[in-house]
Amino acid sequence: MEKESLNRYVRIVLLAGMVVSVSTMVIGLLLYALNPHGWEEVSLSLGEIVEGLTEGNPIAVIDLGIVLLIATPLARVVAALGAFAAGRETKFVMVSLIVLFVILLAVLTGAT
Amino acid sequence: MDLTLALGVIIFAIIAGLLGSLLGLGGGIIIIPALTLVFSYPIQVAIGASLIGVIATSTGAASHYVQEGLTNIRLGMVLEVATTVGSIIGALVAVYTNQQILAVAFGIFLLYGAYYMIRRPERLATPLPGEKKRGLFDLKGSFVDRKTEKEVTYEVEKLDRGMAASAGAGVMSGLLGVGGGLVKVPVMNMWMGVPMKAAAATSNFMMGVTALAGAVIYYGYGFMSPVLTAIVAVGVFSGAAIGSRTAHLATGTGLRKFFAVVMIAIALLMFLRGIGILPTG
Repeated sequence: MEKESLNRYVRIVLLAGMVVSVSTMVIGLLLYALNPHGWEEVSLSLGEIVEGLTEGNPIAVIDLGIVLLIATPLARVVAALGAFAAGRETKFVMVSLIVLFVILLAVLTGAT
Repeated sequence: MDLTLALGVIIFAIIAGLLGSLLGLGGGIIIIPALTLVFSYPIQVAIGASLIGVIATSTGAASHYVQEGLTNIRLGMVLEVATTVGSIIGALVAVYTNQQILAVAFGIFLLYGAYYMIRRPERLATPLPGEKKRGLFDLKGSFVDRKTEKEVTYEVEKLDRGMAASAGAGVMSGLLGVGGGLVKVPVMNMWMGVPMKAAAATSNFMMGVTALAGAVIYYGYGFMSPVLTAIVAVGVFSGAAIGSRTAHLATGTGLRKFFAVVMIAIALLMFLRGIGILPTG
């Protein structure tokens, strides 16, 4: 596979993830600064984040930004996996899948 | 969190990001002592916040390095298998370890950082004679050096040693909330034969995924304080962005030597905290 297309996919995912997650955190911080009282400062589960967003909880917006940022390197591995699969680079497809599996283990460890 | 505290944290975070990028360090080495010694946060909460800062800065820098073609993505992903496993182990140890021990471990890391800043070992790329034996993976890399405008190509050697060291760097990242570049960059350069610029870019590329594996564990165990974490991430990220635009101003050894002395002083404070002379948060 061409080096160029792998680089391009990876770069686009990194840029998009960074812009979206950092802006979400900034918006959450601004909302929190405007209305700082009555919210519990905890890391929420995905379900609680969705619920909090509908209630206008600024902590939910901040946690969403943190989760999106955490998800960005993960999305980058998936993008590379796609590029390797398209280029039929079997060994690197395997490597990407192993990295994804280890991340899954980490997520499961954190969730329990 | 009250406004004065928030302002204090964001100022330290911006300085951490700025200094980090000027000195070629991550922000974690500065922000974690600041959060624990100045603002009295529990060290695990400081580490959780720092890991998110590591993801933010490495993602920002990685997209730039990938565009420049400096990053060896294939090598990075092979080594990530080791760094992510290490990061999980480090994070699990940290969430069950008491703060004093972590403070001492961080102090040791600072001393190593100070040593590295003064020594700065670098191996200049020397092509090996004859045809080399290929390993399991073809990890050959190339990039165009912007200074000389020449294409630099290199083979990657000693992948087994690189994997072992990367696992160690991963443990350090999960345990102490740092990027681990202080280990990965010299290993890739000195042992594996990767030119310095490519080693730095590839190390940075790996940090996001490595920190992610540790961060989800801190998040799940409730060591991720959202407001603090977001302030640290945004601050370190902005500082690093400013730093990367002014990096040409401060490449001299003077700043590095000065900062090495500061790191030794901070290490001593972390030791004092570790043995209970300075109060813990």
